[in-house]
Amino acid sequence: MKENLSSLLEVRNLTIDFHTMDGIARAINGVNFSLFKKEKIGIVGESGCGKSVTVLGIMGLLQKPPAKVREGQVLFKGRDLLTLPEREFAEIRGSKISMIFQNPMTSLNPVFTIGNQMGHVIRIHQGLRKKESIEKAIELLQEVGIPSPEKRIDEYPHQLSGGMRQRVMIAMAISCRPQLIIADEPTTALDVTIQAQIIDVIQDIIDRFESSLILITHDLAVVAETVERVLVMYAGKIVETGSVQELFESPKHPYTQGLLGWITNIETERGKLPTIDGMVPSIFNLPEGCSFSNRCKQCIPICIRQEPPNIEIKPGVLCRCWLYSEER
Amino acid sequence: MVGYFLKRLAMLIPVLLGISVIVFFIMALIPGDPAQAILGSYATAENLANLRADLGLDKPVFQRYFIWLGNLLQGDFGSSYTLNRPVIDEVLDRLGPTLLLAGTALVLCSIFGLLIGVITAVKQYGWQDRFFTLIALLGISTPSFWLGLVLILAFAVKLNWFPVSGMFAVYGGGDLPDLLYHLALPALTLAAVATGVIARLTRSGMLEILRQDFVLTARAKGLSERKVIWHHAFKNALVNIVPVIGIQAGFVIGGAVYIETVFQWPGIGRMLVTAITTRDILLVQGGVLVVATCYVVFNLVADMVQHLLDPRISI
Repeated sequence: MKENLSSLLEVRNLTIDFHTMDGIARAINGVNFSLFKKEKIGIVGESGCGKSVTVLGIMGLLQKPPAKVREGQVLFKGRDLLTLPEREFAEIRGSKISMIFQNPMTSLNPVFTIGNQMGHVIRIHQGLRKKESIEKAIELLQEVGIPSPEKRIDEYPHQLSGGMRQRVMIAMAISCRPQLIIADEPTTALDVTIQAQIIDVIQDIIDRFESSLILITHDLAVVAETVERVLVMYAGKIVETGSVQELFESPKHPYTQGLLGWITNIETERGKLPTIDGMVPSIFNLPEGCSFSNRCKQCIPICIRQEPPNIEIKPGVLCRCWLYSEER
Repeated sequence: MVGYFLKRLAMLIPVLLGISVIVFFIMALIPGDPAQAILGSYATAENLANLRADLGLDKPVFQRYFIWLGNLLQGDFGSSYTLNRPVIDEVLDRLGPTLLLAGTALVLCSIFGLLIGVITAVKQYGWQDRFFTLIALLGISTPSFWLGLVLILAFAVKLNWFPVSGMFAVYGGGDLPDLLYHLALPALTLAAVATGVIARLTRSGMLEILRQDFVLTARAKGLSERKVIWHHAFKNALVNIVPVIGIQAGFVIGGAVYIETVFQWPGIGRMLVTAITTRDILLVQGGVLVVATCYVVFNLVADMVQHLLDPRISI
């Protein structure tokens, strides 16, 4: 691991609960990771594992209540965002850290024009006048590959296709040259043909602006070609961290192995797709030991009794599994 | 945009025709003989028959409708026999005070209703939510004539803050402060129900909108919470609330009938009540037609405002 000094974002022991009518849901349980300048990381894991909650927690965008950050720190350039007054936090949102959401169809406000919505963010963070902000918005739309942006700027979201709207979201996200861009499943809601274009746009922007990227996705192919390092999440914990190459070549955690199982399978044989048997444990009632123990084929007695530690298998490769521990 | 508005205006014609049919036949079908009402119970059969012929009441009802409609189209609403003056003059004289009362009530209920709705939505389940939701519920469920009487008793009779009734002071009144002074209680009473309805609708609309993705986007852009709520969420919620305000405008004009009676307000509502009890059929028909037209026009305006707010709506 590199020195703390060069890290842009450091998440320490982030723990988030949801206080609901049915009880307390432990959505995020002690998430630790750091992100360096210009680094691109991916967060993968199945639905409900806490990927989105993690990044919304970083952005301070969770509704509180029901959400509650029980403990942890989010250090952005050494400042803990979670203890910042809301006003100062709002200044960082959209300017230093910005976010691209999953569904471009619903992420833009239907009653304002594209120019109006982009103008907002440019004006509040850069203090430009209305006319200048519109000129800037047109420039940005051009950067993300929207044809005839001077016409699009006066249109409403419903006049644009899904891919175009996601480009607008990206243009809005980069309008203040953020140091960190968080993309929460930016391609999930799009057609397959558009997905590749959007990923290209994001990659191009990140490289040109020298930003860091946190990419959340289900799509392992996107992970493989976009990011440098991957965090695998399961039931609110990061179970494995490693470089993309390491992860795809030799997945360590049994869950990661299961997740990657189908890729090798398609190459070798036809037939039934391999699945991971069983269900994700309820976050209202997490097991005492390893959260994955009830589905794990390599489960050993200690897995059920005690939570596995985060073990550094080799530099930069961390895995939360008893199989790699000498203490078992 | 202009095409849409023209289309909506054209759609007014069949609606108004339909209203004229309903207004005319309801009055024609209710029991009671105008000739009898005019001449009193000791009139002879011969006199009654002559008067009916004079008033055109001896003709078949359909023929009477078309005569009435034909006259209407020329601006002739007939003549009120109890007041001995043209219906149109009387109705227009009375329309002003009613529109003033209803308009003030509408402004009040829109401001309070929207404000309460947004506050209760933003502070969902907080004390503000509970308190104002209770107030809104009380507003909806209190009969307005009763509320009017209670307000008169409390603020006019006991506390002496406001006048008991009327539009101007009998001696020395007539200026704007005097008018507002007289307007306060009836306008508040009239606004109560509509405030509750608008507040509850705004609350649910805002709650729905605040859950939308674009609100999260607005927050992620770094907008202040106030901007997120009043700029991004409220304008969206308003799209669905504006038509309801239009409908409330109609109810407010209808509700003016009670309120004008309770507060002795010289408006069209009180005129109608008197006209109905004296079987002044032409006056009732003219009055109801004008009130109904106001209702339709308010709704039209609301639809147009909705159209301006939401670029997605078109017909």
